[in-house]
Amino acid sequence: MSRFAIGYSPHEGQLDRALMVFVETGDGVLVQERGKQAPRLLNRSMEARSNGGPARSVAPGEPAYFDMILDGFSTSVFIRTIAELEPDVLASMLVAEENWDLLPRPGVHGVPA
Amino acid sequence: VEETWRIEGDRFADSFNPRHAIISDTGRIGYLKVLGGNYAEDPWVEQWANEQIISELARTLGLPAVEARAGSVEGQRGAIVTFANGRKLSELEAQGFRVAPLLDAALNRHQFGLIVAFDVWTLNVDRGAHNLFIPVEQGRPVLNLIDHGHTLLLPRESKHADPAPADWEEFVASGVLEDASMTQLVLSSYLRPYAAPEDIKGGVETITRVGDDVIEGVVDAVSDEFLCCPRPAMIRLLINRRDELARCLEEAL
Repeated sequence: MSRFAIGYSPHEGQLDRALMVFVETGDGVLVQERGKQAPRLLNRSMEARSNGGPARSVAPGEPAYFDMILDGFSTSVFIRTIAELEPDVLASMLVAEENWDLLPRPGVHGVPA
Repeated sequence: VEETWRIEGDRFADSFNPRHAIISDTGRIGYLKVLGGNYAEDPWVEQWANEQIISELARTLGLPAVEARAGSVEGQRGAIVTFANGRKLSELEAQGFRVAPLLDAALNRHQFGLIVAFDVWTLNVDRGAHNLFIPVEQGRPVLNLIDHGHTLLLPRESKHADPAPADWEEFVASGVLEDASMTQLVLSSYLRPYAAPEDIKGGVETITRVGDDVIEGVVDAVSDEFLCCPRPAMIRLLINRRDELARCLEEAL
């Protein structure tokens, strides 16, 4: 099961206004920004270092990759909500017609065509 | 005025040091960074002391740095890091941005030499793209410093302190941390290619003007529960390295 996270506005009085959604996938992390027509897939390997450990490459699809992406965006949006991505949640999001346009289109590794 | 924080978010980034969103009674927001389950309190809780000490020293030198302090929120010890609205360089790199033009355009480009010297002074072994960020809503980028857990005497292995010495003060005065290999290690930071040797030497001159009283005050402000080595050893470390910085870098540059 994938995880998803929601990043909220960091501005006073808007802390409950969702601005970004992050979805963990096998190919990387899908990031959907409020107001953008389609999500983008982040899938470049990154270098990580745990406490005291050597640097290692973290590939898209690894659990640590999702954590690294959230860490990277944690200064752009205020990340407050993390949950497992239940199929029911996804289905309920798609009740609204316009939400279908937010789904990734077929393409290489899920990158919108 | 003491500020009280409460946890307002789910824990995330469990692969590294997890964190929670927090909000203070004054309305400020931030993150509480806590230890992951696999890490022993001694020595890793000292990361949060390092975050506070380095953040304060950076600001003393006029370097833009995120405000961080060692503290507890709802009984959980960690680093209370005030939210800073910007984009980490690692995030920009992940999205395919070319970082070099961005850094060259930074308003505080002239401080890069001081930052490199600062990282050598404070034994920072973790100045990567993930520990540099650029605030948004600026006419031009300003490079800010963030995440200073892996400085001073952490990680113990890379600071020749594993196992922990019997006498910490003797250890920091021994000169083992001023050898050439250590200087090369902490000099190989992300910003090193962007700082000319003369700029780094200029940074050293600025650092040597930091007084003993300032160093003592910054270290004394950390609560005992976050220091695994004796407080006088931490103070001695910073004073020794300040005094030896020019010599270390003269050899290395």
